[in-house]
Amino acid sequence: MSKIYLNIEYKYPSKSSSSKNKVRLEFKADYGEKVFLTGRTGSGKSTLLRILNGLIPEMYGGDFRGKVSIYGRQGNNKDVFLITQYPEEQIICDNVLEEVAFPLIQRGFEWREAIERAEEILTKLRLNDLIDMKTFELSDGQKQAVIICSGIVCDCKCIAIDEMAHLHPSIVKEVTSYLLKDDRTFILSEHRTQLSEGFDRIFWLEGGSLKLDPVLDYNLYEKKEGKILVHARDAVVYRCGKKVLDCLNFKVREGEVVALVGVNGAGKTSLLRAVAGFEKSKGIEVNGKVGFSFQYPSYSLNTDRVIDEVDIRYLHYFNLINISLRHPHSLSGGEKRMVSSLKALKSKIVLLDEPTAGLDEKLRFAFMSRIIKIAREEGKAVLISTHDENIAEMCDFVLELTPNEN
Amino acid sequence: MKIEGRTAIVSSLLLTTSIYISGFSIYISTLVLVLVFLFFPKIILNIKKFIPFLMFFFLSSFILSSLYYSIKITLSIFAILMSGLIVTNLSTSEFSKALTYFKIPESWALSVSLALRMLRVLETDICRCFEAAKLDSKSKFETYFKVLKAFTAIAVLRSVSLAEALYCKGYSGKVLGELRKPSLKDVVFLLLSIFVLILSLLLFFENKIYFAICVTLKP
Repeated sequence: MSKIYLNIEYKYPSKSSSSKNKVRLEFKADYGEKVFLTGRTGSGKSTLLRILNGLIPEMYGGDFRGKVSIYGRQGNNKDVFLITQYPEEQIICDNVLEEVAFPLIQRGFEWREAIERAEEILTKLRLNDLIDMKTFELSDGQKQAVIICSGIVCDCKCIAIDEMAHLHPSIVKEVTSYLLKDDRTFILSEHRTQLSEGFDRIFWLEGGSLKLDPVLDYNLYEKKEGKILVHARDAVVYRCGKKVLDCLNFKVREGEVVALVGVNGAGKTSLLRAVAGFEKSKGIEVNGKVGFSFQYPSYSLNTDRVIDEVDIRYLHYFNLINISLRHPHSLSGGEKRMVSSLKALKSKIVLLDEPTAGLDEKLRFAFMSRIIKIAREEGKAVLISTHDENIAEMCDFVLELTPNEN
Repeated sequence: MKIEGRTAIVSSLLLTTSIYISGFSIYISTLVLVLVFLFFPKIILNIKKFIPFLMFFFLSSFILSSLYYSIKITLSIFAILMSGLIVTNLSTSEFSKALTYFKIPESWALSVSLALRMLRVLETDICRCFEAAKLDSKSKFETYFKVLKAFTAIAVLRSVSLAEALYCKGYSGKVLGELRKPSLKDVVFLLLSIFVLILSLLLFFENKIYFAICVTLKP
């Protein structure tokens, strides 16, 4: 069986002509090999995966030089199924079953057979609760799980997943163990190296556009009994008219950082949205201006320059001053997420929905340590939803949410 | 049980055509609205989204003509919108499958249904943009301005990401889903839509005949 081989030099069309923006990539994988792809944020992991499935140069264009051979062919979507970073952007259908069956139908399968296979894979990965759901009812993590199922169900030779940052570790384990046993090639691009267990090879990509040194003294501040900024007393939270959380009791004071954890669909985002006043709730008292960073960061970016979105002090502090004059929507995914979080930091109550998804380990720690330091110094109450245990450990306390059974 | 795809498309066309043929008659528009609300009670929830649009029609026609005319035209526009919304009530797969039944090429049918779904996605996007803009705006005008800016960029990004998603999923233009057998409710709805069309045709010809008689008898 032929293999995957690429040796290319690529430059995205929108980048300036400096050689700094060029990506040089060399990668090989045998049929059935399990490769764990890692590297710093901006090192070119997503670019590599896009080349494998032909998105580059087919859709992106740009300056593309070198050789690509995917089982004897050019980069293509028949042999390589790519699951990209943002689940929100990959959903096409209204129902979960249709979404999973969609690629099969496009490959010529009959409707009945496609639906049966979709049901089978959802059951195998213990996602049968989602079978009868509408895609707009799903959380981002659940959406990602559904898209991964649509990839697995296809008879392609290689499955490439560009981060599973929105998935709860238990589902990540389920998906990886399934794909590691599978005959096909499996390439997982991830920052969490602890997930590399069972892979044949770890492939490290050098370079990286986003770098930030950690702040080690972030927790050396004397904690004061600050004013209560968020207070939940037997709180109830609703989403789309349905009760998702109840009997919630917690307080967040000035200078405190709280992590919200829980399985996908547990209600982390709903709770943040309820605190912000976007979702119906009872028993939540908020004392102060709220800043919100959405999981899809583009929503909160509504000016022409980064410097108009974020306080310049924070841009310096987070080493983002070099992008201060760029249009916020032209930034990379990681940069957008950081800018959106920093924008929320302008307020007294800061709500960050998975702010570190897609950031490498060093950057995640550096970013979080800075956020905590600012919260302490400026007396902000910060609530963060995350699937990252290390991030949760850095916070003052962890609120574990469980889905409402009713 | 939802109305079946083919029935929904045909009925939507029949009801919209009826309003046009009747010359935006108040009676036909009211009849269409009653029908829509009887069979699709949830559609009524969409009223508030159209209030600014309807207000615009009402005020402009009131300024340019009379109160009767402005009520008539606003009611008709509202009825046309509601009968059009019947189609948006369908799932992507059911809508595209129903279109292929009427010999629309598969790739066209899928494109139309994806565009229809995108409307819902963009609706969510605009709501999120509003939420984000409200948090850091001082006035309503500033909120709208910020929403417009963010939404324009997001709409472009959405179209690119949809194209990417379709490519990744091996898009070949094949529609998914299967046709349901029409139920009794479907048949009743279709027959009532035909009845509305017949009524509007009668109204149309009655007007024509009345006009012809007037012209003939004129000394």
